[in-house]
Amino acid sequence: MTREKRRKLVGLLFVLPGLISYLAWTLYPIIKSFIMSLYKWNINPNIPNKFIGLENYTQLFQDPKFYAALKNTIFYTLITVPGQMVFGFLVALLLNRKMKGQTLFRLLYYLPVITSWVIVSILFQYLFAARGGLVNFLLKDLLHMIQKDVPWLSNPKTAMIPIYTLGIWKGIGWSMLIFLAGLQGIPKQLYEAASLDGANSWQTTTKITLPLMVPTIMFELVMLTIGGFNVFLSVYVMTGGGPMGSTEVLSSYMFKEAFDYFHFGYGSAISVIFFIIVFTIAQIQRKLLAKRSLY
Amino acid sequence: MERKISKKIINIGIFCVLILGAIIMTFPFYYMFITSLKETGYIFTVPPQLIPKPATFQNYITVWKETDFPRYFINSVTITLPAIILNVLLSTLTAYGFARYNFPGKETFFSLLIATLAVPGLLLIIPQFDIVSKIRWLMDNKITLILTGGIGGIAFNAFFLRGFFEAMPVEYEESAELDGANAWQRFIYIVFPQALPSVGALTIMSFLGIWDDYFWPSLILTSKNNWTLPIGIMTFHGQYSVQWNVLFAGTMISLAPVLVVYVLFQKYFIQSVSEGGLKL
Repeated sequence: MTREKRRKLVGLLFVLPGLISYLAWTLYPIIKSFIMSLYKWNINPNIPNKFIGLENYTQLFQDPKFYAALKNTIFYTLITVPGQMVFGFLVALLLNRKMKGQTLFRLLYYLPVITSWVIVSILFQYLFAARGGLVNFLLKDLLHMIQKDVPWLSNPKTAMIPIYTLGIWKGIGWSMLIFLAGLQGIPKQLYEAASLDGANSWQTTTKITLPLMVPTIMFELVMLTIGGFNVFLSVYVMTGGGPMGSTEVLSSYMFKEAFDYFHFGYGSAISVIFFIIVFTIAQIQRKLLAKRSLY
Repeated sequence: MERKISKKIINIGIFCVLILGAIIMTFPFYYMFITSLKETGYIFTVPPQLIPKPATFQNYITVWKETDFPRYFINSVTITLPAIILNVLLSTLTAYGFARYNFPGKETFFSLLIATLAVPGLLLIIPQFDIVSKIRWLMDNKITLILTGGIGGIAFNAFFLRGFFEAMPVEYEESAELDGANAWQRFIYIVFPQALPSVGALTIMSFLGIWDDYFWPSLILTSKNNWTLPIGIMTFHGQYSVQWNVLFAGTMISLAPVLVVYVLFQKYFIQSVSEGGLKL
């Protein structure tokens, strides 16, 4: 055995455990979910699965519940992504200087990010409670912006609002950290030169900071969009998709079909469509990631 | 002189805005904590009490003595610790192999890993559940969760670490090789210690992911004896009349280890985000 051959074998041994588990637990399930979506799948192993071709998909494209879930998912993404980015960017701008307490601020703003979705969703359900909830108390008794208590989570018109709020609140810390990393990558000389030329801070922000942050902004946009499409536990915990399906999103609808009604084939069809959407976004992301180190 | 004063005013203004933001970010946690110290009659008072009077630890005692919370806690720990070790070991081995060695099919495999990076774990859950449910021994077994937690996210982790290994100077390993150290010894004694900051960041990601995981464990662990903290909390939350104070005592117990790890290893948290750009 030559040395070269040996090295190849050693390399293979290093990656083998990880590679096998990846093939068995990620790649195979991906392929399997495509296959399952073509069947009327039976969870009882004694009853054979029935091949039905694209029937799950034709049914899906005529399913008003699917469109409602898709619409809610898109709205959630359209509202929470800019929300997280704008606030995250503002905080990052303010924090990007030598100041006392910078580390502490970072720590506090990041706290919602590390707390599990289950816990923060329960917490927000409590804050948005109709009677005696903190939000209604603030709006009604303290600020007098509303006349009577709003039943946030039990009215189809308002049920998404706590879910949006939670989505933005939980994501600001992440957005801030990524922007901070981007801001710290901008060469200091540029600002020094600009201030010698008499530029004010508004000009330096719009003429230097923003253009140089474009790759970071694109990166966040893609990551947060994928994250937005994956919204699940906040809906599942706070409303369960109700009232009257008004907060159902793609993932929660998929779970209902798969694990409440055991329609594994139909659930797989939903997840395949979902996968195609997210995958498309990810392809764009890879193109942008290549440009991430622009400066 | 005038510039100095206006600069001071701007700085004070910025500080005030940051303080306000920090309050919005952290107040819900404070509110959760004080609710866990309230007696049942004070949960929804108008105006809400911001300092609980009377404050009591009774809810914590109730959770710990009268529910199965201690068991859930032990289950969570029993699953999380081995799963993290397995996950970190598998990920570092894979990343190192890709970074330092050539083997047949290397590029193909790596492209595959990257191509599936964006596949959310949620999407794989139906086929994964179908696989596990076909094998009777795997259902309702904590070992299943140790294994699935251990092999979860390998693609991303390998991708995250590989760049770090590639940036590491190869000379140390080469000189160790000349001294007769084999590949495994080089990995354990030279590479691993150097990679500790990145491995630390990875460990933390792994910990959060496994400790907080709710849905997958709830599908697998059907008997109450095997439940983890999130399942216990969700069951408690799903009961007909929610006792918010007791429930929040439970969530505080579940959050405590995360907070401790967060405060102790904040550097790694920040690093895992700034370098890896990952989304929790």
